[in-house]
Amino acid sequence: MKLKQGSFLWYLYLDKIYCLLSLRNVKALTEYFYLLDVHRKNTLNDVLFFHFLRHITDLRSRQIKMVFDVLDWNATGEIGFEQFYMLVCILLSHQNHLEEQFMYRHSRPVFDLLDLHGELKVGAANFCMYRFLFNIQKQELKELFHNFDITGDRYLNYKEFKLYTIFSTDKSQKKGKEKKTLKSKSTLVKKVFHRVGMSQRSLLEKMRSRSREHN
Amino acid sequence: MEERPLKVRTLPGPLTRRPSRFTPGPIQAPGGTSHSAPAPCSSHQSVPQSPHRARLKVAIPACPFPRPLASLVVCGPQASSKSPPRRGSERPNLQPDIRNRWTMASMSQTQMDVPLSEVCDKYYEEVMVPDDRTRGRSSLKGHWKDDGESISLSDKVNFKREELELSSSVSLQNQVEVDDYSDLESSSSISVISISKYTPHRAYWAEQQNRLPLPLVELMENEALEILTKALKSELPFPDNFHTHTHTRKDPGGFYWTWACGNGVSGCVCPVRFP
Repeated sequence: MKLKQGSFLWYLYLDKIYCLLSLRNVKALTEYFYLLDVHRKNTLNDVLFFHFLRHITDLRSRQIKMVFDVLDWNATGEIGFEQFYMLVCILLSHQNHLEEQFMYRHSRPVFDLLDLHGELKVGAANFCMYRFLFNIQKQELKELFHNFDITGDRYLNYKEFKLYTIFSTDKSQKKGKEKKTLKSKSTLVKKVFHRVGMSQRSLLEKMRSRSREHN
Repeated sequence: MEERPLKVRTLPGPLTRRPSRFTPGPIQAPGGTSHSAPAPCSSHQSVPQSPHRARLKVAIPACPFPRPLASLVVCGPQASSKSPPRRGSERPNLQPDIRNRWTMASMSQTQMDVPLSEVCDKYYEEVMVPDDRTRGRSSLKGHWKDDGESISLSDKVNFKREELELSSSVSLQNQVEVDDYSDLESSSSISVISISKYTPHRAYWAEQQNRLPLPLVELMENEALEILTKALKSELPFPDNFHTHTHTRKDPGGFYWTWACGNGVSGCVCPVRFP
C-alpha cells in the first residue's frame, strides 16, 4: 500500500512521536474532504471513496472495498470525516514507515478497527485480512499470535494486542539503532581507508580482533 | 512565557460496531463516550469558562448523522526551539478570515480538548453556502491564494509592528496588555482582535511561519477534480451484492439522482446536478 508520489496526501506528514497530523494539515485535509464531498453531506459515499483511493494509492479493488467496510462504522454506506482522517493517518504512517509507532500510540482505535464483530477480540483471520494496512508480513502475524496469545484462545484481546504493539515498537527502534550504527561504522571504515591506505581485508581483520577482545 | 506540554489525544475509534445481526458491540461508557478516548467531553466541560473563552463559542449545526464521539485528533504544532521571528499576517480581509479558524480551533493548551467533529463543523459552517458552491470555493481560494494580493497598507504596518514586538524580549502577554493593538480594531480583521486578546501561543507562530505552499492548493483542487470526474464517468464499481449503498440515475431533465440504501432500508434521495 503506497501513496502515489506527487499526490496531495504525499505532501502531508505525521508527527513522528504521536503519529498525528498537525492542525495545519488537518485544516488542509478538511478542505480536501470538502472538495470531494460533492453532495454536501459531510460524507463520502462508496463510489467517491473507491475512486479516491484508486487515484492516490496502489490498492486493488478488493482491498479498497475491505477498507471501506472496516471504516463504515455505522453501516450507512458513507464515511464521515473522522473515518477519513483515520484512513489518512494510516496511509501516512505507512508512507513514513511509522506503522509500529502508529499502532502503539493508537492501539485502542486500531484494535477497535480490527475488531470487526465487536467481540472485544481480534481473530487471526481478520487480522490477516487487514495486515496490508500496517505492513505486517504473514510470518510476523503467525509469530504475533504464537507469542502474544497468552490466554490461548487463538484471539487477541486488547491487553495482548497492546503488549504486541509495545514489543514491536521496541523491536523497530532497535533495528533503527542498529542500522545507524552500521552506517556510522561503514563511514568510519571508509575514512580510515583514505587516511591509512591499508587494504580492506587487513583492516577488517584488525577491527574484528579488537571487537573480540572487547567481548 | 512558560510552555506547558500540549495535550495530545488519540484517534477516534468506532463507538459501536455493526447492526444487531452481529454479536453485541463493545461496552459503551455512560454518556455515550467512546471507550477508546479518555472521556474528552466531560473533561472539556469541567473546565471553568472564562469570559474570553466564552466569546469563542460558535453555534455549531447539529450533525445529521450519528457519529462516534471523538476527541481532538490533532497533534500540537511542531514548534521549533527558535523564537518565531515573524507572524503570517498577510491575510485577506475577506470573511471568514482564515486566522479566525486558527484561533477558533485554539492553540492554547486548555482548549485542546475540542472534538474533531467541532473543528470540522466549524469549518463547514464558515465556508459552506447552500446553493452556491462557487461562493464557498472562491472564499476557499481567497484564504490561500490572495495572501500576496490583498495585503492592505494597515496590515503591512501592523505586521511590521508585530514583528518588532515579537522580536523583543518582552513576553507575549505583556505585549497583549499594551494598547498598541487598540488601533487595529477599526480596520483589521477579527482575527487580529482575537490574537490581541487571546495570548497566542508561540507554537502557533512557528506553525504560521510554515504554512502550506500555495501550489499545494492548486494540486488539491486538481486532484479532487480528477477524482470526481472519474467517479462521474465510471459506472458503479461494485457488484449488486456489495452493500449497493449508492445508486445513480439520470433523468431526462439532466439531473443525476443519487440515493443510498442500507441493506434493504431505503435512504435519502439526493439530486445532484453534475456539469
